[in-house]
Amino acid sequence: MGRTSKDKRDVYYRLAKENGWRARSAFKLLQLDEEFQLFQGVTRAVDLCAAPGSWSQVLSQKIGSQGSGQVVAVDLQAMAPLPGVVQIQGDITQLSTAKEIIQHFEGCPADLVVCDGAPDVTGLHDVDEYMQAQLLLAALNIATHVLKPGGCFVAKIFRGRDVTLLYSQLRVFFSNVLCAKPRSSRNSSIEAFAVCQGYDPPEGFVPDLTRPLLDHSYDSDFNQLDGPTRIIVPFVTCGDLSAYDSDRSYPLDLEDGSEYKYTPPTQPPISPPYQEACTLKKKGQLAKEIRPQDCPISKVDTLSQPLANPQCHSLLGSEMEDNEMNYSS
Amino acid sequence: MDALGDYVWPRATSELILLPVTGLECVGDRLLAGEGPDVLVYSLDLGGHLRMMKRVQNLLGHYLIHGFRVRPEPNGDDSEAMVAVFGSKGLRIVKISWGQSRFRELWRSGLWNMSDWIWDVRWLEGNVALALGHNSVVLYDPVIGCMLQDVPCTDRCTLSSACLIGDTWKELTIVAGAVSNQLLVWYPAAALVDNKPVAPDRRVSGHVGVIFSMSYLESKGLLATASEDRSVRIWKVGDLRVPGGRVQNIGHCFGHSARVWQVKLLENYLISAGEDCVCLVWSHEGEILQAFRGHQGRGIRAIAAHERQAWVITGGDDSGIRLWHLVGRGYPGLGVSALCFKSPSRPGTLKAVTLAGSWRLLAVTDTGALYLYDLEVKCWEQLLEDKHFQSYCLLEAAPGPEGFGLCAMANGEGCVKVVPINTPAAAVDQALFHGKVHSLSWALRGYEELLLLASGPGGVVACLEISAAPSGKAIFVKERCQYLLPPSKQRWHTCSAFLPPGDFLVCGDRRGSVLLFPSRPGLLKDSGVRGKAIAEGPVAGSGSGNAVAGWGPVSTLHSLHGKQGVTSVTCHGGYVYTTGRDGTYYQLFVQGGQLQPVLRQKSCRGMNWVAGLRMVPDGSMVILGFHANEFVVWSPRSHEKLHIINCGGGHRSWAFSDTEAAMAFAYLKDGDVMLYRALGGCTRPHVILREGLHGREITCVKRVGTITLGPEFEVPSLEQPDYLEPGSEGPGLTDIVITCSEDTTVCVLALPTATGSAHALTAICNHISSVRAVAVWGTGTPGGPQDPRPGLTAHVVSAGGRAEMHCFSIMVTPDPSTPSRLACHVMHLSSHRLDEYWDRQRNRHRMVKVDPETRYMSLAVCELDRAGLGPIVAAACSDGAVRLFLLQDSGRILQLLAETFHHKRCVLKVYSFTHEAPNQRRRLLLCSAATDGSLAFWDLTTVLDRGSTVLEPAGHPGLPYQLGTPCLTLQAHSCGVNSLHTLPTCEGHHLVASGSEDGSLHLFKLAVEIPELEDAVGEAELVPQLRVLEEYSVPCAHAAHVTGLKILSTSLMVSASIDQRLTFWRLGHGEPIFMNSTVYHVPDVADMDCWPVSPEFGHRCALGGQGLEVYNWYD
Repeated sequence: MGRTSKDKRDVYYRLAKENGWRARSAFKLLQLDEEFQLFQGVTRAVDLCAAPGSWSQVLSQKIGSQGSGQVVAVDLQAMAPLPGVVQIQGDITQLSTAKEIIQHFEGCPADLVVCDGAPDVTGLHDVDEYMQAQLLLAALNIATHVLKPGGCFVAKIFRGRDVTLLYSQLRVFFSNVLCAKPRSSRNSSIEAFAVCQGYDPPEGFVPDLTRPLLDHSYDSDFNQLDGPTRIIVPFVTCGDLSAYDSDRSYPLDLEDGSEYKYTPPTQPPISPPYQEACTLKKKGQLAKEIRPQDCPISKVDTLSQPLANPQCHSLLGSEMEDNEMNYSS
Repeated sequence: MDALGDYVWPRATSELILLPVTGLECVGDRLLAGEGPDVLVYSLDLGGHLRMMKRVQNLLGHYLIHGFRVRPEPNGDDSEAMVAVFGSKGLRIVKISWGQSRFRELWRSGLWNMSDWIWDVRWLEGNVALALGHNSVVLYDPVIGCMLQDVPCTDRCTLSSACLIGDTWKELTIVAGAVSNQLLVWYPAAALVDNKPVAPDRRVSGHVGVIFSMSYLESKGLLATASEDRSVRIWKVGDLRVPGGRVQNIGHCFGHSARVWQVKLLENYLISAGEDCVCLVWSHEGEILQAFRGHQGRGIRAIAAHERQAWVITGGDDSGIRLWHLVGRGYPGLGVSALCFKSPSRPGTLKAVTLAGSWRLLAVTDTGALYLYDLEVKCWEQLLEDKHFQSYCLLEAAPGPEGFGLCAMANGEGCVKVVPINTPAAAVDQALFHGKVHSLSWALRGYEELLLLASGPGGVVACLEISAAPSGKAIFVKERCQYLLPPSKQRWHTCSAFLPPGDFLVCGDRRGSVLLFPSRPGLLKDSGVRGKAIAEGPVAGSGSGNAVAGWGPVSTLHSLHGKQGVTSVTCHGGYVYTTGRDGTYYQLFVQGGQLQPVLRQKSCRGMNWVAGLRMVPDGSMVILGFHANEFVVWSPRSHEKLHIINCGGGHRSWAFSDTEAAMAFAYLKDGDVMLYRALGGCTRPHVILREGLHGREITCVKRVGTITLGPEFEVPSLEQPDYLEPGSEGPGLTDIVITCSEDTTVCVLALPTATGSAHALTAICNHISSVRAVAVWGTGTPGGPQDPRPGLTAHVVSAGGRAEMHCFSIMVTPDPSTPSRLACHVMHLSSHRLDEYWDRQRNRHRMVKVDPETRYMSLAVCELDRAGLGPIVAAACSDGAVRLFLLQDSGRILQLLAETFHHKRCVLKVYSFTHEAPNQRRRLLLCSAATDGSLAFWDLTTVLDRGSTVLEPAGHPGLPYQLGTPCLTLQAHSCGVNSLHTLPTCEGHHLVASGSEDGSLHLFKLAVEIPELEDAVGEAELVPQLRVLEEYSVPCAHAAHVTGLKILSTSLMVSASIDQRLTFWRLGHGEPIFMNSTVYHVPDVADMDCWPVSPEFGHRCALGGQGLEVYNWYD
């Protein structure tokens, strides 16, 4: 498998690199906008969980170029800087972050809040779906602080078992909730986007970031676990049929006559969690098990040790103290 | 009420679940394993007879079990326990007992739903404390199900793990792993008023990724954490229940090559397991003591330890459960030792080493001296010295448990010396060739016939018969015949074995070919098998210098193992196994005197030099090979490297021998003989409690058929030791199902209807990329329709990534020796890859090469009624094509026939059906569906008619035909079609149903009208007219992709979706009407198959996704 094989399998991955987008997800926002005109009349937009920044790129291009437009990008992780985008490295569950966003808008609420964040999937479906739901609800929670009435909220959802619970939660805050899937999102993926228009919190609702919004639970009347009544919002496919098909494998020379040239990724990840482990692995410094051939045979021939009787070990001691450690009380 | 009854019936009930094992706990001598909402109970006390005892179904409703917490019993009764079972937002308490080797559930509480995710549970006397998803702690009365206290932390961040410490509410301590990668320590009892948030006492940072698991060891004041950053940290925390204590990181352990999911501290060890499928045993000082490898797929999800027995139990994403022995440092009784050959009394350098049985080692030096080393006596002894064997000498000991007491040497002048080890003076020399002897190998048939094969110049293999005098003092060597190898540059044989009963010899050669020779060619002259003597030019023969006649092979598989050569041949259980330097091993079969490949198998990743294959006493096989500079004994059954010896690679002289008692591996290094010995042979004491299924998502499920086993084959019920379900007697019906997966394998499964268990019969590993679809045709019984015998035969075609397609035949027969009472024989028939097909074309330089990244998304088999013509396989391709392949010679020839790029988008589904009407020809129809939600119908019967103009010839000769325009196109959905099914109605129409990514269902009635003969005067072609009669759409039928759909009758349809609902729809009254739905547990369901079970059973339904679940319902 050469370096072009992903380019062949995934046309949007390749187009994103060629067009300078930091990730292929940029096309998803563009196609959502095509369908819903999300950016119409928007001057203040917030991008939550922005890293690596492709949605911020789209926002700054579509809104920031209008002169008065302002884009604020928030993420827990560091992100490479983008022109025309104000970056906040902060936690979306903290009130201080909400205040900082408003500050950047000079006290005005935002017209549009988008969130394309997803936790690193663990492969355990129920955990991943829960974590994604919590991310969406945290985004919704901070949006209740910064979004103007009538504003719009777009967030990624996983359409799994309990997605109807999220729909019911979103319906509380927005007059119009739709589930949209851009054509650049693959058929095989369970991701979709909740497009919530007309922010209209229930009467008497006081935004409170100190309390997390918890997802709803199934009830016996309006949102049943296994009954006929479930809150399934209308589904809209975005992007016209002439757009590239994200599931299709295309030849490297596309039909528009452009000649293929390999493009390296626009923005490689900044300090991923596995960085140190990879460095150690590259240097061959990961801890290895002690192989029998490394010990003289006489020593290895001894019988198994009872669990309660450890052998003496020499490697690593308490000198392995960590400098980064800090604690406070 | 009639209407009410309609809505309730049919109701699907879960019968079997295969999901990742997400919870494990030892309770007394039982092991509880959480798989989905079910608990599997294993008994661990029967001294080696570990077995599954019981499945407690649906303990956690629609939640998955993530853990068990056993309540410490106050009265010290160790055959009873209260267990809190939790997962997701659900909690249930069960009281179980296992006295008198009978497992019983004594009581269970209600299923309590929490408002948030449960990360940890701790028993506080009669109540439980729960650590919830947004950093709060709840005190709960689990018996009556009411919340007593609810204390949040001031920092309501989302957690990724939590650990509760303490035995009373007062001393309860929570260590919470926040998304900010910090550990938060706080004390819920510090809340003076209920619901008043408590500030964290300490914040500890260190990890640079999310913390997935924590474990606290009170006796030593240690805390261990496992993280996304692939490391495990050990913290010295002292007594965490005391506020403000110092937290010191005493170990930062990097050993995993992926995220670490689980960590557990034991009194003297630390166990961690992760996404890399490895379970590591560490000392508390951060030194790796053992590594357990063998799980497949996306990691180990659960670990448990039985401290008294020193066992570690792991549960994988592959739904396998394994038990490992914690045995201190290293393996018992293993090790490498140098045999100290170098000595002034033993001049010369060692050239070759061999093992005669398990306790005698032979080595030869460049002075032509042969030495013996007795592993019991531990000393060297010179057997003989012959200067003719200086500088170049081959050495091979005879096979057999004690090496038959013989070894053979060969030199560069064509001379072979056979040496009885006990009486070296009686050695016999034989001059065979005028040139170098290239290779030596032995072949042994029982204790009756011993042959030595020696390859000389020009591809001549001399076959020597060795026999011993009755006195045992003398041996006789007689040249029986000579064989001739096919011409090649390096023309010598590498290995040989008798094919039982002994009429043939199977040999492998340096060119990678496998050859079959008659073992006594002289006797075969008048028999049916043609042993042909080939005379070849002036070859240096044995006696005369003139032309010599050699016997050619009766059957050859040319270059089976590629240019690097064959390394071994083994005959076992009716099959021939060959291994090669191409990293593969083949299963072959001899039929009618001809070698036929059955299956190609790959060894573990990176092992490109497979050196041999051994059968071990438990009936499984092990593979010997070289992995970089290591010699590896690898078990394909457990995917485990049983032995690893850092020997420097396979190019040095080496020898291997194994018996049940011990295995030995000897090699030359630095002028000395190094010897590795392991007690217990090739086996390891680890136990597979349950075999894993697929390591990755299942992409397709197809039922092949049902086997009825008589009472003599009664499958032991898994509940037998504890509880026998009434009515499980009677003939055992077993469904045979084929699954394929992203892990590149195709699996044949047996699903007995009575026991609720699943047995994997065979895994087929020929694909190089993920397998996405299988199709089955030609189902029958062994022996054919004339002589039906119990069992099942079928042809299978599988396809997937990298535009690869394989065709197999399978035969499932009763076999009382296996746990499923069935055995499955697979024969590989043919394969096809689009790019290879292009590579073979003569004028390929003028054509665009087909993209090898094309994936086959779905397959449909269309069985033709024309005699002699095999079935057509239609494939939905990701490059936008629908391709038709023709299978001929019962699957042995697979050819691309025609294609169409009508859809211009990734084609997701194809489905074929036949239209039969009185007085009309049977018509084959194909429906294809793409990512744009459109369906297209094709008439294949017309396409296949000879001389038809529907098939447009390709632009270039050698290219496939072009399929013309479809008979009917229809925009059914707004986006991708993920399921498709049809059913003929009694009026002669067809119901066509499709389900889409947008959660919608589409159903319509299709009329097929054939123009009357008069309308088409003189024309052979009668193109059917397809019309849509009634059309219905259900927009929000599901909340996600509808990936499974089956019209069961004209009044009932069942659909399955990624939203994990199995829904029944009533048809026949206009729009499909919702009847009921069941929440199932397999996420990401990619396919569903349903079939009727006769007659009292109703239907069975298999759902495949990230796991497998089987449902049934009564009609």
